[in-house]
Amino acid sequence: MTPPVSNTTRDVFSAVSASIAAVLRDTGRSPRPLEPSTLLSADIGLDSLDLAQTVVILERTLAVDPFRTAPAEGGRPAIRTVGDLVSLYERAVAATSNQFTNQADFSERVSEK
Amino acid sequence: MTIASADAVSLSHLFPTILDAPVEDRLATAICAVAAEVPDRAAIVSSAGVNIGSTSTLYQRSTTDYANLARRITQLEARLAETRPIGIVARAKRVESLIAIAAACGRQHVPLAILAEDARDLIGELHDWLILDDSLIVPDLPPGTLPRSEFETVPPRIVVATSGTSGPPKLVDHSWDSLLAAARLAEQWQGRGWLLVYDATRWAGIQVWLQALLTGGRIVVPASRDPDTVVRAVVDDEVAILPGTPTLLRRVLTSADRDLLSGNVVERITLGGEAADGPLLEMVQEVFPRAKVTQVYATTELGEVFRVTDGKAGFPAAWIGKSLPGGAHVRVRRDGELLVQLHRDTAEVATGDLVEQTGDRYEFVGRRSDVIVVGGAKVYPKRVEEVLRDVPGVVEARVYAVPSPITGELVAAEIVPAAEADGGRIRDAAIARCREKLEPHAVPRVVDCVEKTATTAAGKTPRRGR
Repeated sequence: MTPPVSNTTRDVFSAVSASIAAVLRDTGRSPRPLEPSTLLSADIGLDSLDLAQTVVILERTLAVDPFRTAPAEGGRPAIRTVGDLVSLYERAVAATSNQFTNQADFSERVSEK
Repeated sequence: MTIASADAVSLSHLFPTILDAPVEDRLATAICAVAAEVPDRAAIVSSAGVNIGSTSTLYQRSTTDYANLARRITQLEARLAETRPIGIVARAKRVESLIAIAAACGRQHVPLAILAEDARDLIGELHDWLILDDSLIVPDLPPGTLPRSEFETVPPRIVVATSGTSGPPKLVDHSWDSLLAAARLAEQWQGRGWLLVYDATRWAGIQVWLQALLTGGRIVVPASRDPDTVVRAVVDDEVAILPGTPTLLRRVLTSADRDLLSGNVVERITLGGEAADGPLLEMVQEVFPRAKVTQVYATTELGEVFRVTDGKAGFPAAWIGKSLPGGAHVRVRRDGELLVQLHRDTAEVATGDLVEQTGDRYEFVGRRSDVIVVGGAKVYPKRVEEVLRDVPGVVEARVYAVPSPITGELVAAEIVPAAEADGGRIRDAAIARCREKLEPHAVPRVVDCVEKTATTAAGKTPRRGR
């Protein structure tokens, strides 16, 4: 079994950009080019509803929701920029793919016995 | 004999005999009495789809007449009298078997459980009860292994599972009295064709087949809830009485080929299970101009509370504080929840239904449990659906909540675009209309174009999920 998408930064970045663009379009705002340093609130004007929608879209495309899982020790880092969002999802995607790898190892070990 | 000629004989002279019988005997008594007078009158007309190849379906109709149904009942009764099982769980898939089991158990004073598919896990709660399937075969109980039921003078219990719309299904004890409380034996109801789109094992479905058979009627069971299939059954099998939820009726009226309905003979439409809105009621009157529309307000705990027959949404505001036909009193709490006191000596019950006064009417705005809470702000899904359905090109809409880690919940919608319409363009138009008409938190943030909107097993609109 393979994870739904590869966990490269580029793929996660384009998924995040596409979902933000979809949110802006649905709310009647024109999409704009995004950089990792783009501020979600100040630069593109995303409010909590917009962010909630972005999370639902990303859950559909990346099959993970890092907001639903318990934050790592030290709490969840603040999400201020596009880059913050990308790294949060990158870690979540990587964690899911590790899970899949571990499961594969486990079933191999079981079948060897 | 055709449907029409068999049904031409009025059987209302049998009503006194049926009503004289003890309440638990009435179903079997009615079926046997009709069978004695018009043995080949159709009791159940059901159709089943048979797939031919990968794309076509052939619908096969089968009819069970009253004589056949009466024979099954008396045979089963003889076995029940011999074996006296402590209780019977009806696990039949066919409506005629379910009815035979119910009628025989009633007259033989054997406790009966009618469990819908999603309540099958609850069988374990009915220790030592015997499961009866479509074969209607009652095995011999080895002597001494199972306790036997006694033929008591007290009517036996009937167990029905709740629909599980608001929580997992559970077993609820009823009696033949409560089951038959709403049945009406009058000339205007006799010998009619009744559409059964409800699940025959749930409260609403049980009410339909009981009422139909107590009045010498014909139960019409379409092969599925697919709109064209339902409409074909309504017209071909001459359905006169059409009970259903607003969700099911809306789906049929918006998706089926309306030309097919031109020859319908529908006299009455009984809406229940959910509140109907004004636009739906207008559509119903347009398609069924001769039909009398009744909205039944009932709850699981209370049964039927009142009926609205003026064809308008909600109920008259003048009803508040008055004694309604049947003895119920209704009141509205300050937060808009409808409160019902069924009789003077019973406690007042909070119904979970929220109402709002508009002029001289109270209209239903939704179930308390249906309210979507977005960042602390309340959204009534029905209101959002009304806006969506008003968008040109949107045939049907369902609004529901999706969980959100950020705002608690988020408003989501499914829309059915008109045939051959550009789904993407209609989706954009629908969102734009919602932004124009609704508060920002009420605008659906997840909007999907679908072929048909989701419904629950009970034929209602689900309000939670993803």
